[in-house]
Amino acid sequence: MQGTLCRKEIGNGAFFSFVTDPKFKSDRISLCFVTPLKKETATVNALVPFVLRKGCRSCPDFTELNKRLALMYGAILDADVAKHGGNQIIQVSLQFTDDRFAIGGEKMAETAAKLLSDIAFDPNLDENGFFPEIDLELEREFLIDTIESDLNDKRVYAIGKALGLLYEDEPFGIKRYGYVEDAKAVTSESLAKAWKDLVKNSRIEIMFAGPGDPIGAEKVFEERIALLEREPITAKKPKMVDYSPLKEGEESLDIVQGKLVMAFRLGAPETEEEKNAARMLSAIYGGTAFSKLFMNVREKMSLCYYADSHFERSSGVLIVDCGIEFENREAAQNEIIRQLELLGEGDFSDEELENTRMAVANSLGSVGDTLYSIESWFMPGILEGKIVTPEEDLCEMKAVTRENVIAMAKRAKLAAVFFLKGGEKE
Amino acid sequence: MSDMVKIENKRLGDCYYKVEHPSGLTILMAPMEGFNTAYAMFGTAYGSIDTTIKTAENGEFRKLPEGIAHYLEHKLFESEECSAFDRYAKTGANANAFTAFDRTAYLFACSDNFEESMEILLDFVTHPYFTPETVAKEQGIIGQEIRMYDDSADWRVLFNLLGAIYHKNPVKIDIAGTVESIAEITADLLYDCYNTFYNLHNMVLTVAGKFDMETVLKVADKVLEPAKDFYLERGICDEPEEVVENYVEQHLPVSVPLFNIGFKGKTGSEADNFRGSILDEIFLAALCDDYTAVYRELYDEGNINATFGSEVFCGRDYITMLISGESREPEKVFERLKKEFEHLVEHGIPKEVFDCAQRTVYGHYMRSSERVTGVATSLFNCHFPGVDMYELIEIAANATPESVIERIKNTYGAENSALSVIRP
Repeated sequence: MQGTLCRKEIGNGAFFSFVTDPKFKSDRISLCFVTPLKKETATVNALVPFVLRKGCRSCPDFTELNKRLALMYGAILDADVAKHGGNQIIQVSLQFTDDRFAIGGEKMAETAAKLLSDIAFDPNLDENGFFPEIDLELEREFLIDTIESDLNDKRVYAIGKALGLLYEDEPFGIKRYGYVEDAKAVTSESLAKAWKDLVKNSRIEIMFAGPGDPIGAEKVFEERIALLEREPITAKKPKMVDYSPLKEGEESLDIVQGKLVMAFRLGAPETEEEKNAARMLSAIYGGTAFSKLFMNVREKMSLCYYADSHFERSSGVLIVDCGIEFENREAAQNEIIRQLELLGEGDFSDEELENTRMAVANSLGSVGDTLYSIESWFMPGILEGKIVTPEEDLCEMKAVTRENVIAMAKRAKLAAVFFLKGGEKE
Repeated sequence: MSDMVKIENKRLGDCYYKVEHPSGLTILMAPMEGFNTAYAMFGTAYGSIDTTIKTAENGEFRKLPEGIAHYLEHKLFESEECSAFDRYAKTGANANAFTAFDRTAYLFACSDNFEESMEILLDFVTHPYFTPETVAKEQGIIGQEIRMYDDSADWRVLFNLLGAIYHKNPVKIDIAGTVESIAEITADLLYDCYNTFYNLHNMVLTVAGKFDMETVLKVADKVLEPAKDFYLERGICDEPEEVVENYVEQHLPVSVPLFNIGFKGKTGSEADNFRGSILDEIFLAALCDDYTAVYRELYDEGNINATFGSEVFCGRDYITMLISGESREPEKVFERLKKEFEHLVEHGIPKEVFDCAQRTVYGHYMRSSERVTGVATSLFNCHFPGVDMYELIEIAANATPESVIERIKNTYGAENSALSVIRP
C-alpha cells in the first residue's frame, strides 16, 4: 500500500497514528478508548459511545449536531463498541470530505478533530456531572434492542450460541454489547462514572487516515489530552485454552433452514508462526470458492449454499458454519469433520496451497484501497503491539509450509457444536 | 483499433473512457491513480423481472420460470472441464456474481494477474455449458439459498412490501424464485435465455482501479466474437398507479418488529427513473434524515433507533422510495411520515433542511468516487439506463428545493404508500 503508518505518543498512554494517502477524497479519524474487557463493566461501557453520539457541550442538541455533520457534506459520525482479545474498545469515528472538496475552503481536518475531541472528552453532562436522563433512558432501551437483535440474523445468532457454549467463562465469551440485566441497572450516575473511568484509565488510540494534513488534528488532540488526569491501565493478554471437552447444544425456532456451527480448538496457537499456519489452514479449508468445504459440502454434495471457516485470532479457535436442510445435519457434520481430517493427512496438492496463498495475497493487496480497511488493518496490530504492513504480513504468510498446515490440521479437536433447527421455539 | 472517448468531471477531477468494441460490447474504463486493486464487472440487462419475452418481431410472448436469471448466473460458472472458480484460483482474484431485478453481473477484484483474470471473465461468460446433470446438481444449492432468504427478516420485509405495492410488476417476485419454480428449469431453457439476453449488444464491461486499458482491449479482441444482431421485446406489465394494499405483516422469530415503508412512484423511462432518483434521495433526506424534526420526534418517543434509514429503489420500470427500521409502533412511524410528506409537498422544504439534505447526498456520491468498487458499480448501473455516471453528482449539486418538490409532486403521493411489518 502507498502510505506508511506514522505513530507517536501525544500524552500519557495516548497515541496518535496516521496514514497519509493523496488518492482519497475524504479523511477518517477514529478515537478509541481501550480498556480491559470485564463482565462487570462490559455493558455500561458499551452504552458510553451511544450517549456520546448524542451531543457535546459545544453542541448539546442531537439534531443540531446532526445538522453540523450534514453541512460538512454528509460527514459520518459513528459510535460503537468492539472487543479484541482481552480489550474492550469504545470507539467514536468521523469520516468527512477533504479540504480540496470543501466549497468555502474550510480547514476540514481541524474542524473535524475539534468536534470528535468534544464528543469524546467534553460530553453534555448535567449540573450533577451526569448524562441527561432522557439520553440514558432512550439509549439504554436501544442497547437492549441491540443485544437482543442477534436473533434477527439466524446465522449470527447460531454462531453466538456456539461460542457461548465454547467459551463459557473465558473472557472471549463476554458479549460485545453486554447483558440485558446489566443494562437495566445502569443509572445516569454509573454511566457518567464509566465514561470518567475510560477517560482516566483507558489507553487512548487515535488514528487519522486520508489525504488531509494530520498535524493540525494531532495538535487538537494533544492539547485536549494534556488537560486530562491520566492513569492508564493495560489489559492482560487472556490465556488461550488449548483443549476442552466437546459441548453440544441445539435449539428450535420457527425457521425453514437449519444452521450448523462447529468450533475446533487448535491447541492454543500462541506464536505468530502458529497463528499464520492456522490462518492458512482456515483459508484452504473453507476460506475461498475453491476451498475444501466449498468444493465438497456445497459443490459435490449440494448440501448448502455457504459453508465457511474462519480463524479467531485472539482465542485460537477455528469456526465453521453452514445453512442446511434439517435432515442433512449428520451428513454435513460428518463431511466437515472428514475434510479437516483429510487436510491433517496431507490430502491437498501444492497447487491448492499456492492458489490459496494467492487468494490471501490478493486480499492483503486491497487493504490500502479504502480508509476503513486501512484503519481495520492497523488497529489490531496496534492493540497487540505488533504493527506490520500488509506486505510484511504477506512475507510471513509465504513462509507457511505445507507441513505447517498439516501439523495445524492435526491439532484440531472439535470442542463445540450448535444446531439451530426448525419447529416451535422451545 | 477501437475509438476511445474520454469523459471527464471537473468537480471530482476524475475521468473515464468509453469504447464501442467491434464485437458489439460497450467497455467503460476508469483507471484510478494510486490504487492497488482493479475491479471488473461484466454483465447484461437481464434480471429476475424478465419473465415474459419475445425474441422475434412476429413471434409470441412466452413466460419463463421465476428465478431463471439467477439460476443461469450460477450455472454459467461451469464449463465442460472445470468451474470458473477453479480458473480464478490460479490468479488469486476474488470472483463473484449477482443477479438483481433488472441486471446480472459477473465480477472480480484483484491486485495481481489482471490480464489472466480478465480473460477468464470474458471467456466463461461468453461460453455457456449446461447439461441435465449439472442443472440438476444446482437444485440443492439454490434451494438452500432460497431457504436462507426465507428465514431472513430483512429480505422478507422488503418482498412483502413489494407485494403490497405492485399488482403485476414482476419486481415483486423473489429474485431466486421458489423451490417449485426452479424445478421447472432445464438445460434447454437456460440456453434459450442465454442466447436471448447474453448478446454483447445487451451487455457492458466496466473496469475501475489499477489496470492498463490496452490490456482490457487486447483481451476483448482475443476473446470476444462479434455478436449477431438481436431482437428482444420484454413483456410490458400494465401496472396501476395505486398500491395493492396499505398494510402487510408476517410473523418470524425476531426480537423487535422490523418495518419497510414504501412510497410508490410513477415510473418514467429507465433514464428518467435514474436521474429522478437523485432528487428523490434529497427529498427522503429532507423528510426523515437524523437532522430533521420528524426524526427527532420519533427517536425521542423511542419509535425508531439507529437502524432507521432510507433509499430509492429503482430500475427499468419501477421506482419506490423506501424507508426501513425497527419499531414497536411502526404504524405510528408510517402515519407521521405520511403527514410530513404532505407538509413538505404543500409548504416546500425549508432552506436549512434542504442544505443539509443536498450536502448529504452530494457527499455520498463524492465518497463513492474514491472507491474502486464504487466507481465500477456506478459505471455499470448507469450504462443500461443510458445515463453518464457523473450526471448523478451534478444533479445533486444543482438541485433546488423547488426542483425537488416539483419532481415529488409529479411522481409520488402520500396515500400511494404501504407499510410492511415483521413481528415476533
